[in-house]
Amino acid sequence: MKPAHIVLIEDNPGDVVLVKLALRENDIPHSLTEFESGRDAVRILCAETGDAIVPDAILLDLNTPGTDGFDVLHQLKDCPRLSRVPIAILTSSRAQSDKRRAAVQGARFIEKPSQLQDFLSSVGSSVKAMLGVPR
Amino acid sequence: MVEQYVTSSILVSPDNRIVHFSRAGRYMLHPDGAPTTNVLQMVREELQIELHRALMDAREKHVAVDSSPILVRFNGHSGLVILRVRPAPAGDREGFALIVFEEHQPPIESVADAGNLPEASKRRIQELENELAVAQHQMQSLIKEFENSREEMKSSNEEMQSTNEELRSTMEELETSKEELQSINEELQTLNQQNRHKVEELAELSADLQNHLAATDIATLFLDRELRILRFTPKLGNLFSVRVIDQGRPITDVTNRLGYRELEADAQAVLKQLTPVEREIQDQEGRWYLMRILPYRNPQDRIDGVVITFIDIHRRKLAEEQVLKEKDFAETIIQTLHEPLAVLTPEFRVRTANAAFYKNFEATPESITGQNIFEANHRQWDIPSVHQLLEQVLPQKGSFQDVEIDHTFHRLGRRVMLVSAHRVDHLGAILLGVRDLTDKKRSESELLKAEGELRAANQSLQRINADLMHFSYAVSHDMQEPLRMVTSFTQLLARELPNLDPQSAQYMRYAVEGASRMETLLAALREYWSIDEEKLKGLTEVDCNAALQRALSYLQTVIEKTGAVITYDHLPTIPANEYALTLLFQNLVGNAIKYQPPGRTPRIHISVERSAAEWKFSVADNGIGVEPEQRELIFAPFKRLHEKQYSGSGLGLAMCRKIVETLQGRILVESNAGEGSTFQFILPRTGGV
Repeated sequence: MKPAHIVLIEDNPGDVVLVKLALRENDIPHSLTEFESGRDAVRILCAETGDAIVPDAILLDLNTPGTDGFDVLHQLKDCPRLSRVPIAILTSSRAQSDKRRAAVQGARFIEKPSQLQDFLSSVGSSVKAMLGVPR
Repeated sequence: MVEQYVTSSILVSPDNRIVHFSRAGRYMLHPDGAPTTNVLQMVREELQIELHRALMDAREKHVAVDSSPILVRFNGHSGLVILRVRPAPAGDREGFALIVFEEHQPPIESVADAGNLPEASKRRIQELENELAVAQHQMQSLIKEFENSREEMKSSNEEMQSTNEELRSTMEELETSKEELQSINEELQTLNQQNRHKVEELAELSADLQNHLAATDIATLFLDRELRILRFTPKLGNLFSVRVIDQGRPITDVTNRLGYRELEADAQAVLKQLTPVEREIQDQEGRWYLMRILPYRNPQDRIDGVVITFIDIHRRKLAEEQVLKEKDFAETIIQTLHEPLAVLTPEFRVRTANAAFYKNFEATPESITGQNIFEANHRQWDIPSVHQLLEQVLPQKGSFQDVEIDHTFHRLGRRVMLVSAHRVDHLGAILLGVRDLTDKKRSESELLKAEGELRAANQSLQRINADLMHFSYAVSHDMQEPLRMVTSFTQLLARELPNLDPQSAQYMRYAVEGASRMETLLAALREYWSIDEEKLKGLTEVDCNAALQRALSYLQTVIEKTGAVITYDHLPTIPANEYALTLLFQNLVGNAIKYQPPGRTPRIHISVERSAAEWKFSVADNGIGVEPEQRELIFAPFKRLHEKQYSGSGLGLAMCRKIVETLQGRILVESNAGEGSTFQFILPRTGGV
């Protein structure tokens, strides 16, 4: 299986570690590009110039500093180049309103459970689904 | 000649009046004087005696009578007349008679022819004629006498007649008196009738009286002048051992149940002085009677004895005692009042006043009782505004309330008072109450200041409280992320270090568990706060059955683990918030499953009662129950009563209360420790669902 190109927009290093662990433990071959802020991610991913990368999936933390996660999501969705890239919101919020907002904007919603095992399986299965990998 | 032999007749009535007259004129000679129809007066003189005799004979003997021939001298000649009298047959027109005159020629024997007679014969004739004249004369006088006696008879007859008339008038009088008697008789009859009615009425009255005596509740005793029993009502049996056969015995012979010995003396006194006696007496059982002794007056207004009545006034007596007690009670209330109170008569005289009144206005009972309020105690109440209130406002309105009076009293100084008064008309009293605000006025400004401070403190407390709530809300959300890191990485660490020594492994476990518990607490806290967020969304029609189903589905794992039996009635649809209601059921049913003694299968029933204004939901379990003193505590946040055996956030019931109160309801628990508990939440039925 060809390694998938996954973009992770996450400012919390702990969560970065956990997402990487989830991908690894779920046997998802991948190359990971990390952004610490939504603004940076939008700037790079949506650049008109050159041979900018088009990832296979984007995982976006809702609580990145400086920008509102939904703003970032909106901008990413506005990028023509990313129009076909599945995006998932990663969040510890369980608010129904957030879930609905994500769905309206065409994004998947991945909760961050507190329990380690739950986290690993939740992220793993969601990413697989985004990549179209059969379980 | 022929004519001479034609029958001449007269029909006469019993009193000899001519009724019919037929050719008898020559035998009649109307006498001088008043015209008459009497045949004896009208017939010729020579015939009168014979006719009278014949008529009488004929009438007496009822036979035909013929007279001897009578010589009658008519005008120029004479004739012999025979009278034949025929009486009417007996029985038919008795007394009537027919008189027939029959005339014969006398023998031709004239004096003129006597010339050839001898002288002796002539003398003899002369003598005879003389004798005849004498006899005639005698007869004349006899007739006269007869006539006279007849006159006398007539007059005596008239007398008889007048006597007869007198008799008749007497008879008429008798008749009249007879009629009078008759009318008197009729009157008597009417009277008799009336009397009979009276008697009947009397009988009815008597019956009525009997019944009245029997039915009356008032024991009544009639005694004669010697105090012997005449009559009594059955009720009397309650007081005296009397029976019907005791009638006639002296009352003193009869025992009674009254603790009253002067009955005889009193009765005697009444007989002597004729003034009624009235006493309240008690029987041996303590019942009260009103005894009245009255003189018994007979219809002639004579005193024949006495009437004694015993009226049961026990209740009245009790009521009187009660009234006295009440009065005493009222008096005590008045005296106990801290505020000055005076009771006035409608004429503003002081009937009574309480101790507070005396104290406040430096008065004594002697200085004001019975006095006019305006004059009492050195005229201290002679205040124009009080005059105006009592004399004008009170009569019009019946009362006034808290009228402020600012007055400087002699000796007492300035006083600020609230004066109230009520007219109690049926008691003939005016209640005059005074509230002395003098001290209060002084402290009022201080109070205002303190109130301001309190309000400020309260506001600051509210601000702090809001801050705390905000803080708590922020903590519940913002600590979530760091805590998740702690949880995740302690777990990762534990996984990465499989071969730790047992003590380190235990430390690791403590860390993991602590993080987990904190996680639970924060989750509960978030849930607790989420109610406020949900509240903002407003209410919708929520099917409670669906909410309960959802709650049960969330509890599925623990229900299966414990084998809990959960039953429920059909629940209504109410205006609520589905999330909150689900949370409510989840917590209440979750608690019911959780708080069970070890090994018992939880049995839970959810029911609802509907009243006019409310829905009363009940969640009943068979769990460990709640101690009475803990029933309020359990609804406070973080009040956990079973730290060790039963895990929990300490927010479950606090949140339930928050949900119910958000829905304008209330929550409570009924329980006997060890016998299960029933949590009830009561929601108002608004919006007509």
